Amino acid sequence: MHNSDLHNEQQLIRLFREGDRSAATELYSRFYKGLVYFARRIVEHAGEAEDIAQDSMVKLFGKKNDFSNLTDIKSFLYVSVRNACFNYLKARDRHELSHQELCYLTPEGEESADLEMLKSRVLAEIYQEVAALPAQCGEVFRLIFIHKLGTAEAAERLGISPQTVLNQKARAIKLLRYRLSEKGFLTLLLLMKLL
Amino acid sequence: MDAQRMNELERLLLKKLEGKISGEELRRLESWAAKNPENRRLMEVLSDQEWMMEQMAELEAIEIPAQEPVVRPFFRRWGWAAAVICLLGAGTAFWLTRQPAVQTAPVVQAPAQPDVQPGHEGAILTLADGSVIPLDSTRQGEIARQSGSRLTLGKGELAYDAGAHRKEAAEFNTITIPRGRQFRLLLPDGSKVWLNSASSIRFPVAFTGTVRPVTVTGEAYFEVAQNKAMPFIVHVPERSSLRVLGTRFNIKAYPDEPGAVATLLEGKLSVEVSGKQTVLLPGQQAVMNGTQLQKSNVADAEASIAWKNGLFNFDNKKLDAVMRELARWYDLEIVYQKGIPDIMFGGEMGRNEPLSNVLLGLQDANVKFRIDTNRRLVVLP
Repeated sequence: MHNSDLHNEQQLIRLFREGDRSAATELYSRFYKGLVYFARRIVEHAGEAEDIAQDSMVKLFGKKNDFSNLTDIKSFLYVSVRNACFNYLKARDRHELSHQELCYLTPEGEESADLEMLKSRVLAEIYQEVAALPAQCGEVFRLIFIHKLGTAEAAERLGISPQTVLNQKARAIKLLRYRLSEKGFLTLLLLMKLL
Repeated sequence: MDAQRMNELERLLLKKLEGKISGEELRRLESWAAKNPENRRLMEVLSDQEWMMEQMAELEAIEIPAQEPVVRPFFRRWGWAAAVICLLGAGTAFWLTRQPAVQTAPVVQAPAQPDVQPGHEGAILTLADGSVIPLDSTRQGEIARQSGSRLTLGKGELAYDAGAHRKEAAEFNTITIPRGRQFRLLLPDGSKVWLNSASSIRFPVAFTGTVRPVTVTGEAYFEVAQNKAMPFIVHVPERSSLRVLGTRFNIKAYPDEPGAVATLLEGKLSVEVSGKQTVLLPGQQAVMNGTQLQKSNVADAEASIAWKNGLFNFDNKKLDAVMRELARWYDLEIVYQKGIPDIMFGGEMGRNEPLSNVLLGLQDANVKFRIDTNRRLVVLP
């Protein structure tokens, strides 16, 4: 059940405004990974990228009356990560920056950052669906599809029988199909093709 | 790129992956891709499965920081004084209430005995053979198998996985939630059940027949996975049976409440009481009392599931109704020394507060009371 408890957007916004802890947890689980992923595309320093993502979440919680939907929250978070990344690059000595990082400081840099943002947002949405799978089912899915383990390896890793792995794999795909079609915004056809 | 453009492109790219993009939308995406080779590269890389899986692996590996939340209650007027949770993350205070505490603290003697903590997650599982397993935080992972189904205990929830179940009739398990506890259940069909304090659910470990039957006492919120071929039926002993045609609903059927109440949030719900039947639409409520069945529209259906989201909703509730909720969650005994004072409540309160904070709220609402030992709360006239 994880964080899907708060699937109802209005409910989540209401709790967020009221300062409810479960809303904070839910917002972290929805957005944090995508923000780190995005920050890493611009700032080639993992620890820094995480700090920047964390800071943008903190900023969000300081403005909780400014938002009435999740799309605006998402836009705010990504834009504030982008700005923080640029500030970080500008503040650094140019000699310390990589070629890629220097590119972001050119006039075209902003546009490339926008594309990275778009990409990160799309990937984070897809990842959300994988993460929402129930515990063991999600484990099997991750081991097989993301970490590319074979059925036998995955079974050994999880201490379950290969047949269970196959069942869970089938269940994961069924659940993903169900959830995604229910939400009506994405069926992971590309994942299905791997079967 | 402005925010609206960004949102639109995100939506179009996701739709394209989904294979549900319309011709018109695809043209819009194409014209965006044609503007710049970088744009096209982005569109193309998203359909590269190998690359996609690598990105998923990267996202997977990013750890969400533990938000060790420090709870610091304080009060503000909110119908009645409600405690608001304060969250401190990574050493930085960033969770602020809309208004600072403006109330001068009412004089309350600090309870001599240790404060009563709010309820938490936990339950008792009774297997088909009658053996009993406590479901608490000390153990996680697979805890049992029941006629082919695998039982996995997570934090505050138990998941049933029917696996490759044979066709024979499945055994029944029961989960009982004591007072001061709550719990979640993931049924083998993917349906989810949230269980409030002093409740129980009995269900088959795999759904093999023509219907999906469960029996509930107390309060439970359901999110039922759709399967038209196998209707989901909720029996409420001595009250009614609900035939679920759709997805999200709450059922509150405590023996000490005046009637059983079913509230539908989404989908369709057919309610049956001793031969009478009615169909609920979202935002409607059925009250079952004896052989009576009454349907009504409710202004705020979500209020019925505030408990599941960590809140008490006391809007338009009388003192005795509020006290019953508190009694179940804080495991209190409520005694009225001389009748039930006529006090109406409003607003919401977090369920995460120690009892002392709740008592401050009660005092603010002009409830006179004293606390005896053994968690006995005596309401004075």
